[in-house]
Amino acid sequence: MAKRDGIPLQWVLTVMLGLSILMSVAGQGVARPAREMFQYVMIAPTDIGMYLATTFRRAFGDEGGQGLSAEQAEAINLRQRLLKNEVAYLRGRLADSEQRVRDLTNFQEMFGPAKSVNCVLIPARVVAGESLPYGDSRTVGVGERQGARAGDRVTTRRLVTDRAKAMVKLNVLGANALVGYLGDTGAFTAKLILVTDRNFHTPAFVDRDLANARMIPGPTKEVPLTGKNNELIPCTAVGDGWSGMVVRGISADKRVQVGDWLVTSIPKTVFLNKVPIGTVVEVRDDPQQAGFQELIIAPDADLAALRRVYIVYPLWREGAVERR
Amino acid sequence: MRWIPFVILVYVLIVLQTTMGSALTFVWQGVGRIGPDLLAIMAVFVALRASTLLDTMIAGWILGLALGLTAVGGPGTATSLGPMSLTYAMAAGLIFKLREVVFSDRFLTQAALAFVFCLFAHMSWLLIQATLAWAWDGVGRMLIQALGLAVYTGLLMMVGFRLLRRIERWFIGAPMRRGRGARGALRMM
Repeated sequence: MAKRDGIPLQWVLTVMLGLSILMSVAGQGVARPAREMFQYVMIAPTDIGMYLATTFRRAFGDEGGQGLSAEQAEAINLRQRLLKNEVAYLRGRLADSEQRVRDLTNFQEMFGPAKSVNCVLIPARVVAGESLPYGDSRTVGVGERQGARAGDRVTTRRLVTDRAKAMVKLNVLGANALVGYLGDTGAFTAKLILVTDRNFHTPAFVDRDLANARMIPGPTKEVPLTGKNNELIPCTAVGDGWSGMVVRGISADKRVQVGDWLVTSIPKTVFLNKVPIGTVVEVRDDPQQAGFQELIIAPDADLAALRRVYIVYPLWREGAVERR
Repeated sequence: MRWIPFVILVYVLIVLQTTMGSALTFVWQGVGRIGPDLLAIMAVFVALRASTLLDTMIAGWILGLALGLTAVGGPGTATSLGPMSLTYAMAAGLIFKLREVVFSDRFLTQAALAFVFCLFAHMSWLLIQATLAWAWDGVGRMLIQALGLAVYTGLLMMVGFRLLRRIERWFIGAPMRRGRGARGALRMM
């Protein structure tokens, strides 16, 4: 019998294989805490590794996030203008808008943390990826101790200053894009399910780009799409498992075109709505439903080189007042 | 086997796999991302160089566990922890048995063995996970991904074997010998 220091290796192997079977049957009850503990062991060296990997992908990557073309820059400018109009509209509807305008005259208030928004952004770093290509998730170095919870939305972090961060309602909407939401969260780490993961699904809106002229069905005849009749199209976006998302069940009458946008539609909040998710890159007939279309969406964020993110901490959550 | 250095090396490899591994992946449109399995290279190396089947299977189990701890995606919403260690141990045992009937010093043989290892370990893992979660949506595509991963890993095996050979003495105490020595080692089972 083969032995090492008095322990028969056959026994060791038998116990190991038995453990494997037990862990398989136990499912997430064992897998979740075990993975969480292992993340603590991994977090320091993988943080450095992810820095190198994302730097490499940023330099040589080919999965979106490249520099903007003149047309894209123009489209973003247009979107910014639309968003500014929307913010102005929302301000008019808010009962305390006058009070906030007065507050803004105070220098300290202006450059302090924004009190008018109902979410806080928690900065986090991506510290590890997934070891196998079947899923598309990342590990972020922020957990429940910092306020993160499963289901929290995560955006890119393209803002430079804390002042910009504080002015969520103006800057984040235009500057950042949704990258996913948190899955399992531990005390100090959390799993970020990316928008391209097969298990990702979120309510969203299709926002038709007014720069692309088109006719849409009116009450009696077809009319051009304008700012007045350009209603957001509610839908559900699902990760396709490799590089984008799929939106199904969009009526062909909506006349969605390549170049239109997919934006968030998160209940309970105004300011998390209309955060960009991606751009429509293909429109095709839905094979399962006649008269409906299927949209292929490319994410706005460069997920291959994802390094710094914001976790959106909603202030309506129970116990969130203390954080504010 | 020298288990402590081996576990340290597994740790280094899993860090590389979860960080730099993403830099080696590419997207196969319509199928998914294809990337190498660096731990499989280690497992095949151990299977080719370790002196006993038990050492090989225990090493495979440890490597599979490390991989399972860092791989959430797969059939269903989240994968279970045990199947990867099980399939890795079995696949390592299979390669150990195969090594006696092949010329394992050849580049192509090593690549082919790594291909067989990945195909066996990953396809079994996917099927077990799909059965446990009873989620068969997208499994066909993932099996094609596993095929791509096996080819990719087989190609990297040729380089990985040379690199691991240089540090073999750190984690394999008494490498396998051909002929009677190897048979004697098998009898130790």
